[in-house]
Amino acid sequence: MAPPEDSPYQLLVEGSDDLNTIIHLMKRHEFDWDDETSIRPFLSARGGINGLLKDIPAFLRSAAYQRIGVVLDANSDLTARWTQVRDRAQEAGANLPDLPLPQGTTVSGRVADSRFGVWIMPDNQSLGALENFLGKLMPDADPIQVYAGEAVNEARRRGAKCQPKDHIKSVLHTWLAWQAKPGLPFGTALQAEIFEKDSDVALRFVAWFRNLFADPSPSPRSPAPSAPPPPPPRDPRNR
Amino acid sequence: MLKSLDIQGFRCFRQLRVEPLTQVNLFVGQNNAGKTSLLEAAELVAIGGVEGLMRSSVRRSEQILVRSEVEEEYKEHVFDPSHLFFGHDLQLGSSFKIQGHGETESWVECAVEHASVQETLIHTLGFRSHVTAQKKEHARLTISPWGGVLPPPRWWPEPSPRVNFLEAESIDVSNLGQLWGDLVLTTEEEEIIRSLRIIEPLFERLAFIGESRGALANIIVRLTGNEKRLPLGNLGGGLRHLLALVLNLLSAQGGFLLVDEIDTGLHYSVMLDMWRLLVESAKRLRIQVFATTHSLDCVRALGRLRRRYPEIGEAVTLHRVERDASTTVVYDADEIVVAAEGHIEVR
Repeated sequence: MAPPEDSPYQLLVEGSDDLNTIIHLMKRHEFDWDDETSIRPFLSARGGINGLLKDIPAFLRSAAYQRIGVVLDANSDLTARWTQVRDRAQEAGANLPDLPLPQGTTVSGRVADSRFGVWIMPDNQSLGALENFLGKLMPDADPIQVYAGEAVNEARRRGAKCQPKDHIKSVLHTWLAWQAKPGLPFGTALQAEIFEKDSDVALRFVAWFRNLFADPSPSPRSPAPSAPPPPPPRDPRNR
Repeated sequence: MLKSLDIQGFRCFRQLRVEPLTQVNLFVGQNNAGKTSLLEAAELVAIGGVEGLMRSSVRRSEQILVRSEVEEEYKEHVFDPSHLFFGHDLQLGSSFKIQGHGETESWVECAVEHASVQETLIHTLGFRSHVTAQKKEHARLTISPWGGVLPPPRWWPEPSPRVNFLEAESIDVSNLGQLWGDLVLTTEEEEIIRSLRIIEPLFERLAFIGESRGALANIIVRLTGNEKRLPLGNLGGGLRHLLALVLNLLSAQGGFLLVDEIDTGLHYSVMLDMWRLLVESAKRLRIQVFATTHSLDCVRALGRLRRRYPEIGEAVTLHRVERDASTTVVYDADEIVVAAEGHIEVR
């Protein structure tokens, strides 16, 4: 069974693309969403960036949640976005550093033993969104990847209305349209292994996620491991 | 109206600040976090008299079985004061203090002190309070060698304005007749009937009959289209609870209403109307309300109240009481909406 809505672990995201991407990326990294012997985070899409920002203090104030993670897009101003999150968190008694950490940020929450983690798409350092994160998971050797970029540029020259600022989004969707099963949504495309799973950023994300929700060590600040976690993660002999 | 409370050394609170308080305040939190104690702290500082201590002790059955030397008629009033103090600690120097901050400052303090009576040193419970210039008290109650306190033998009038406390499990019907007596044939009587229609749309009239107006059987009602008058007890627990709530509310003009587990017996579908009635009346009659709940429906109904009737919902604040914490976790009216609509747990 999937994690229950009232799980003490909660991961808040902007929309359903983020939600499905994270579910399937983690699945491909051997995270077992159905393992009822462990506490798994309940993922919820909060109705865009405004809904997400609005809900952060209410989640942090609650006594019902021990781990709260948020994943949101930097878009065109990483600092401004970070400041918004930091202010919202501070309102509810959680103190984030001045700048996001490249490996994802995790601090202690308001309540004892609680953690609050923030990941800013794509990589806590660059402008952009989920699509930039996914762009790094397109196979390098894929011959049509470059061509998808050229095709989007050419389409724009011919009057397509997509904006240059959304270039990577257009490329991703174009590229997905050219797969054996055309036009799969992001999560499903990850599941179908159309996307890869091991970009540097994706591995950092996975480590941040595990540290926040699944790492049994008491330190909330242990640095991200540089190597991918050894599968299967829940076998005690491998820990 | 109290805008904040400071509680020191009272019952389970070493030190607690409750701020801000608004017209209506709902307290949530786990069992034993101190929700009822918080209502009692507010009650004490609102009453400002020794009877506040007794009310609280009687409610919790902290009376002591007394020996023959105490006069029979005061027997039920002898109480064990140790439970009033943090850690149940009744030693020389044990003390508690409750301060209410509002347009005026009010406070109650109580301490175990030495006194010399006919050259014998005894322990006493020193009680000092200040609510208004007219309403203050300085009393010294003897603590008997077996640890009980017998309050001075005198009649305790209802505080004016009233400070009504509605308990969680048992609805005390014995004083409902008295409250009804205060309200019958006033403009508020219609409000009582209107309120009861929240649960029973056919509700027409209500009367208290008989010699002892305390018994449930002596409360009779008439429903539209029903020839026969019916005993209230016939109509279900929710209606009884709502009647008790409404009578305690409407008779507290200018005063306080404290309700432990306000959702008792109420189906979730009537919660919104219950809140609307409660908050509207509290604003109109200048009553400050403190209530507790464990019910998620009860909290979510507050979110709907704010959405549907913004100017009513605005008067409500939600507090979570956490064990050993020095402040409550506060949700204002808009944050209640965010939590209710986002399905975010606040309890």
